[in-house]
Amino acid sequence: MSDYLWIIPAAPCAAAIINGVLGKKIGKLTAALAIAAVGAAFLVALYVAFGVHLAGEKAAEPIDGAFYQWIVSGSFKVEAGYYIDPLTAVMLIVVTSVSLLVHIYSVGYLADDEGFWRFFCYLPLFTFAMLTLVLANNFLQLFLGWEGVGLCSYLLIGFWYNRKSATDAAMKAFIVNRVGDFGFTIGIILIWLNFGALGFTEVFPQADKIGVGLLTMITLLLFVGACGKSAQIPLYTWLPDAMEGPTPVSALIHAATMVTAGVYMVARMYPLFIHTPITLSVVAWVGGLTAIFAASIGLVQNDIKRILAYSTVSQLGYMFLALGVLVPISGIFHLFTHAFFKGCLFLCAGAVIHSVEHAFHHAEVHEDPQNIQNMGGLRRYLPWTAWTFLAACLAISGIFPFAGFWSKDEILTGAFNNGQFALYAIGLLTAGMTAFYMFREYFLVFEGEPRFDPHRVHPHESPWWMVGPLVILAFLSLVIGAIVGAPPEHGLFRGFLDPSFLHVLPEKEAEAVPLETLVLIGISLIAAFIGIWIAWMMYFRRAWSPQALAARLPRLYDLLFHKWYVDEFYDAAIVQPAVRFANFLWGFDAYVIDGIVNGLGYMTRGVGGGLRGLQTGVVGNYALGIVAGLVAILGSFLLKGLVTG
Amino acid sequence: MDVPLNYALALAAVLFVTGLAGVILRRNILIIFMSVELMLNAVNLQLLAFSRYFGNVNGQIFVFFVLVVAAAEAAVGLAIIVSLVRHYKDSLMADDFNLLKG
Amino acid sequence: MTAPVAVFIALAAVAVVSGLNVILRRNPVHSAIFLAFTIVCLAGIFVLLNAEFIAATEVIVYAGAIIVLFLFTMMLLDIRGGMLAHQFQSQTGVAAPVAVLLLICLLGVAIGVFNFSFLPAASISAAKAAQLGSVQNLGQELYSNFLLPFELASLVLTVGLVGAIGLAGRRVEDQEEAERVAEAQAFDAEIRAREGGALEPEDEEPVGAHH
Repeated sequence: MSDYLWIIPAAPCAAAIINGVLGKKIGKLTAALAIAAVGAAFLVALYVAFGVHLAGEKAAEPIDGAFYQWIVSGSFKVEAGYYIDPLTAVMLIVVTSVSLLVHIYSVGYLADDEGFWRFFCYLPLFTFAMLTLVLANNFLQLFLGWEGVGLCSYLLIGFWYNRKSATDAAMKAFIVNRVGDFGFTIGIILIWLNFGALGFTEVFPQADKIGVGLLTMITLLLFVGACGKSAQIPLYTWLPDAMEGPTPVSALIHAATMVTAGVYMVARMYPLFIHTPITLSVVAWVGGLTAIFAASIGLVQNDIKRILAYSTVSQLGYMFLALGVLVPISGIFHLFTHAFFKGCLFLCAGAVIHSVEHAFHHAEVHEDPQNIQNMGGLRRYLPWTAWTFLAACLAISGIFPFAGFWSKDEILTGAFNNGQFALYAIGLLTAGMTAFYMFREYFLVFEGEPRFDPHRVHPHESPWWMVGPLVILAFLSLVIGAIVGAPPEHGLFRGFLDPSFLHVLPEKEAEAVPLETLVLIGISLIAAFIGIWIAWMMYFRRAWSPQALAARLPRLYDLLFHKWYVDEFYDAAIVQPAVRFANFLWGFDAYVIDGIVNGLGYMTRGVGGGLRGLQTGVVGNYALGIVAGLVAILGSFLLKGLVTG
Repeated sequence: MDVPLNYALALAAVLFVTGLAGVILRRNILIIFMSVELMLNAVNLQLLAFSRYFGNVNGQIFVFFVLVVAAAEAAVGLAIIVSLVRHYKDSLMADDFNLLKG
Repeated sequence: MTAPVAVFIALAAVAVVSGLNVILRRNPVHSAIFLAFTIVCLAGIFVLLNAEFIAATEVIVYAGAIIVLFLFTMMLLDIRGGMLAHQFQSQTGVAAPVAVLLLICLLGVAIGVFNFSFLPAASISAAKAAQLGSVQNLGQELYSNFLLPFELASLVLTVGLVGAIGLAGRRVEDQEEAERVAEAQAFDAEIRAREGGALEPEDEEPVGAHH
C-alpha cells in the first residue's frame, strides 16, 4: 500500500506546476489535467482506506514512513513522510472526493472566466497542500501543509483580484490566520524544546512525561492555531468575508477541507490533549459558544453565501465541542458528513448565483444577484438545484434518517452522557437555530412568488457539469449517514475509527442506556422540527411577519444583523492602533533614521565647506601657514630645552 | 679678536626674519621676490659665519652654489612673473592670482 | 671694541636698515635699490669673515646681475598699477606677531639664551682663518672634491637660461599667424569683388589656416 502513497500528494502537485507554467498556452486543457490528477489521488485514497479497513485491529498501530529526508541539520532531523491510520484514511477520502467534485463543477462555473487556467493551477495546489497536511507524520510537515492551504486560500479568495473587496478579504483571511499560526508555531517550538523531536511516533508516547502545566500551555497554543484555521472565536471574522471568492472555492476550502484542518489537527494530537483537561474544556466551550454565536448571526443575514458561511462556523463549533467532551469520533464523523452536505449547499448556492447573475445581466437588472431578498420561486426555474438544496437542508437540520442527524445527535448525546449539560443545552438550541435559518434560506430562495420581474428575468438551470456534482453530493448527504453511522455508537464509521483512538480515550464506564439515548434523540428532533416550523410559518405561509418581529426587537435585530459589531470592534481595538503605529514608524524612519543619515551627509558637507575656507588660493596665506608651523616646532623645542635645561 | 660668532648669527637672524616678514606681509609680487633674495642672503651670511668659526671651507662652497642657484631661480622666477602679468592678469598684486581658491 | 667689531656693527646697522626699507617701500624700484645697499653691506661683512672671493662674487652676481634683472623686469611691466593698491596683505594682523615670534626664537638661539651644549668652544687659529676664503683654497676644493656639483651648477644655469626665454618670450608665431590669415582673407575678398563670384566656393577656410 505504501508503494502508491506518493501519488496522493505528487499528482496534484504536478498538475499545479504544469498548469502554472503552461496554463496560459493550454487553456481549457488545464481542467482536464487537474481533474485527472485529483482523480488519481482519489483512487489511491480509496485503496489506502480499503487497506486500513482490512487491517482491522492492527490499524491501531499507524504506518509511519518517510518519502524522503527533508531536513538533516546536525541533530535536527525532519522527514517528509506519511502516517496512515484510520483517521488519515477518512480525511484522505473527504479531501480527494470533495476536491474532485469541485474541480468538475468549476469547469462549468468558470467557463467564461479569463482566469480559468489560473484557477486550475491554484485548485490542485491547494489539494496538494491539504494532502500534505493530512498525511504528515511530524509537526513541521503538518505546519507546512497548514501554511500551504493558508496561502492557497489567499490566492483563491482574491482570485478576482480586480475587485478591492476580494483582495481585502484575502488579506484579512491571511492575516487573521497568521495570528493563529503564530500560536501554533510557538506550540511547535515548545514541543521541540521539551520532547526533543517533532515526529508523532516520538512525541505521542512521551506525552505524560512532561508536566501538566507545560502540556496545557502547548496544547492551548496549538488550539489557537486551530481557532485561526477553523474560524472559531475570536479568529472567525475572516470566513464570512472569504465568500468574495468564487463559490467552488467556498465549497472546497471553506466548507469541507481547509477549515476542517483545525479539527483534524486536534483529533490527531489527541494523545497530547487527553492529558490536559483544562485545554479540553477550553476547546469544548469555545466550540459551543462559537456554534451558537455564529448561528445567531446567520438568522438575519441576506446574502446567500454569508448564511452558509456562518453556518459553517457554527458547525465547526460543533466539531470542536465534540472533541472537547471526549467524543472525538463523533466530531470526525460530523466533519465527514458536513463536508458532503455543506459542499452541496455551497455548490447549489453557486448554481443559483450563476443563473440569477446571467438572468439579471440579460434583463439589465442592477440588483445584487446574491441577495436572497431579490429571489424567490426559483424552484420552477432551477428544479434540480432546488431539490438538491432541500436535501442538504434536511441533512444539516439533523432530520432522521439523513446524514446530519446521525453525526449531530452523536455529539449531543455524547455531551449529555459525559455530564456537560450546559454544553448540551447550547448545542440543542443551536440545532434549532440551524434548522430555522437553513429553511428560511430555502423558502426565501426557492419557494413563494418571485420578487424579481418574471417577465423580464428568465433564470436557467445550470449545465450538467455543475448539476452532476450537486446530485452526487445531495445523494451522499441523504444516505451516507445511515450507511456508516447506524446504529449510533456501533456503526461502521465508529468501527473504522476506533483503532485510532484505542489507546487514547479513557475506558468507557458503562454503556449508555438505550432508552435515555432515544429520549435525547427525540428531544433534538423536536428542536429541529420547531425550527423548521417557525421558518415555515414566517416565510412560506407568511402567517407571522419577520419584519414585525424585527420591529419589536430593534436593538437585538440590529446587533445580529451587524454581526455583533465584532469587525468594528477589531478595527477600533487592533487595526487602527496598528495603522497608527505603522504611521509612527514610517515617520520615525523618514525623519529620524533618514534624518540621521542625511544629517551625517549635511554635517560632512558643512565641515567640508568650513574647511574650504582654508583654501584661499592666495599663496601668501600658505606661506604664513608654513612659517607658523616653523615657529611652533622651533618654539616647542626651545621651550623644552629651556625647561629641562 | 675677530667678529664673534654670535654677532653674525644675530644679524643673520634679523635679516632672515626681515625677509620673511616681507614675504608674508607685502602684496606686490616683485617685493615678495626681493624679500626671498634677502632671506637667501641671510642664510649665506650664517653659512659663512659658521664656516669661519669651524675653519671648514665647505661652508663657503655651499654659499657658492647657493649663489648659482639663486641666480638661476631669479631668472626663471622673473620670467614666470612676466608671463603671468602679460598673459593672465594685468596686475602685480599677489591676491589676484588665486586660481587655487576653493 | 676692536676695529673689526666696530666695522661689523656699522655695516650691520646699515644692512638692517636697508633690509627694513626693502620690505617697507611702496615703490618697487626703491626696494630694489635698498636691496642693492644691503647686498653691498653684506659683502663687506663677508670680507670680515674671511670670505673674500664670495664677497666679490656676491657683489657681481647679486648686485650686478640679479638686481639689474629686477629693474629690467620692472621696466617691462607697468608697475604703477601695483603701487596704488593696498600694500599690505589682509593677513598682516596674524602675520606680524608670527614674524616677531620667529625673531625672538632665532635671536634667542643666536645670542645663546638657549645654551645648547653641542657648540664647541674652540675656534681656529688666525693664520688658518686668513687663507680660508682665498681664491686658491676655494678653487682647490671646488675642482677636486666638488667637481661634479660644479659641472651641474653650469647645467642649472643653462636650464635657467632656456627656461626664462621659453617662459617669457613673446609668442611671435601667434602674431604672425594672425597677420597672415588677415592678409589672405583680404586677398580673397578683393578677387571676389573683381571677378564677381567666379571663384569656387569649396575653399571656405582661408588658405593656411589651421587651428
